[in-house]
Amino acid sequence: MALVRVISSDGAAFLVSQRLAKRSGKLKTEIETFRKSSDNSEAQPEIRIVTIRAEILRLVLQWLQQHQNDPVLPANQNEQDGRGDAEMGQSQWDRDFLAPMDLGIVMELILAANHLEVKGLLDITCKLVESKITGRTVDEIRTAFKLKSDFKGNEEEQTRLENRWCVEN
Amino acid sequence: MGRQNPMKQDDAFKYIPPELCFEIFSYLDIESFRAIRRVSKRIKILADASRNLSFNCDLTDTTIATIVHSTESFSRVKVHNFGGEKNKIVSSTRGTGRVFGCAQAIHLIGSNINAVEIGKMMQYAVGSVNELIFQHCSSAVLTSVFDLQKTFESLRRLSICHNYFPSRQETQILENIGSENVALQLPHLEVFKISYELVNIAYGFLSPNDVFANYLAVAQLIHRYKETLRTVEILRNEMLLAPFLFLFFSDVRLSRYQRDQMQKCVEGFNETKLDSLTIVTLLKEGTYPWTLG
Repeated sequence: MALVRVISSDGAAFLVSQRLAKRSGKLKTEIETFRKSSDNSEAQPEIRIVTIRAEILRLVLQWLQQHQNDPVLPANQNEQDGRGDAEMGQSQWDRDFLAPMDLGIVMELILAANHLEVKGLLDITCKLVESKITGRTVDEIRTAFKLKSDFKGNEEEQTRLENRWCVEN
Repeated sequence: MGRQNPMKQDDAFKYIPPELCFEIFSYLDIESFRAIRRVSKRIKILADASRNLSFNCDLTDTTIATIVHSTESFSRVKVHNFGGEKNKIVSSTRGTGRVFGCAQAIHLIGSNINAVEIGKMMQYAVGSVNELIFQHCSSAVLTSVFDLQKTFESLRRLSICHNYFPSRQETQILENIGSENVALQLPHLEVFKISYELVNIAYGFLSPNDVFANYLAVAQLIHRYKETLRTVEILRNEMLLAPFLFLFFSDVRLSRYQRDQMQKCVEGFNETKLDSLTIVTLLKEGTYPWTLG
C-alpha cells in the first residue's frame, strides 16, 4: 500500500495511505506534484502542513478515515446542489465526533478543513458553528464566542434599526 | 473530557476568512442573522456581505443597467436626475422593487427625475425607508410619493430642499404634508426639514395673504405631527421680504377658516413634543443640500 507522511506545524508525523490522503484536495495535489517531480516512483511523499498543528491534523485524518468510502464532494458543491453533507444530514458518528469539542477546536477544524480542501468536514463544522448561533440572543452569542462589542455611541442602536430593513420577514 | 482549545477574547472569527464566515452566516434564519449583525462591527460587515447587503447605490440613467443586473440590495440609494426614459426600472426588475426594497435612506436629487417611475418604485420602500430627502425635485415627484396612499412604516426624517418652483406650490406641499391624509401615511415622522424660496423672482412677490398662508401651513404641519415631531428646521428667505412685511401684515385679511386654524395651532403649540424648532430667515450658500444622516 502506497503511503504518505503528513507532518504537522509542530513536527508530528502521520503515516497514512495515499488513497486516504487523496480524499483531501490539497494533499492530492501535493502527492501528484511530488510524483511528477520525482524520478523514483516508489519514493514516499512527505508533505508539511505548516498551518495545522498535530491535534487538529489528527482529527482531520480521523474524519477522513471514517468517511473514506463516501463519495468525494466537489469544492463547489454548495453552488450546485445546496449544502452537501451537512444538508443531507450528519451521521451519528459525525455527531459523536464533534460533540466533545469546544468551539475553539471547531474553529481550528474549519480552518484545517478549508486549507486541506475537505468539503464534507468543512460543511459539518460550519453547520455546527451555525447551530451555536441559531436561536441565541446577541449577548449569548458574544458569550459563546467570547466576542466583545466594539460598537461606539449609537452604532449598535443604528444596527438594530437597520435590522428592520436588512432582511425580509 | 472533551477536546478543548479555550478561545481567547475576540479570537473566534479572527482567523476565519470571509468566505468561510459567509458560508456560516448565509444559512442563518432571519432572527439569528439579525442577532449576529449586532455582535460586533467586523461580524456585522461579514454578515452583510454574506447576503450581498450593500449600502450605497447611485441611480442615474447611466448606472441603471448595472444596478438592474446586480444582485445586491441597497440600504442607501441616491437617485440623481433619473429620467428613466430608456430603462423602466420597475419593469426591468420585474416589479420586485429590489433597488428600493431594502432602502433605509433615499435621496432624490434633480428636477429631471421621472415622477411616475419614482412613484412606482417608492411603493416598495414604504416598509423600510427611514429617511427621505427631496432635493431640487419637481412638485410632481413629491406628489407621486405622497399620493401613494401607503403608510411609510419607518419614515422618521423628511427633508425637502430648495425646490425650484414658486412659493405658492411650496405652500401647497406644506399643506399637503400637513394634511390628515398624508399624516396618516407618516405615523413616525420625527424630523422635518425644509428650505425654500418664499420669494421667487420669476413669479413675483407674494401677496400678504399668500405669505400668511405659508406661515400657517408650517404651523399646521407642526401641529398635525405634534405627537411625533421632535425637530423642525425651516430655512426660507423671508429677510428679503422684511421691508415689505409690515405692509404685508397690515394688509392680511384672514378668513374665518384661517383664524380658526391659527387659534388651534397657537393653543396646541404647548402640546407638541418638539425638542428643537429652528427658523432661519435667510438662505445662504452652503446651507443646503442636506445630506443623508
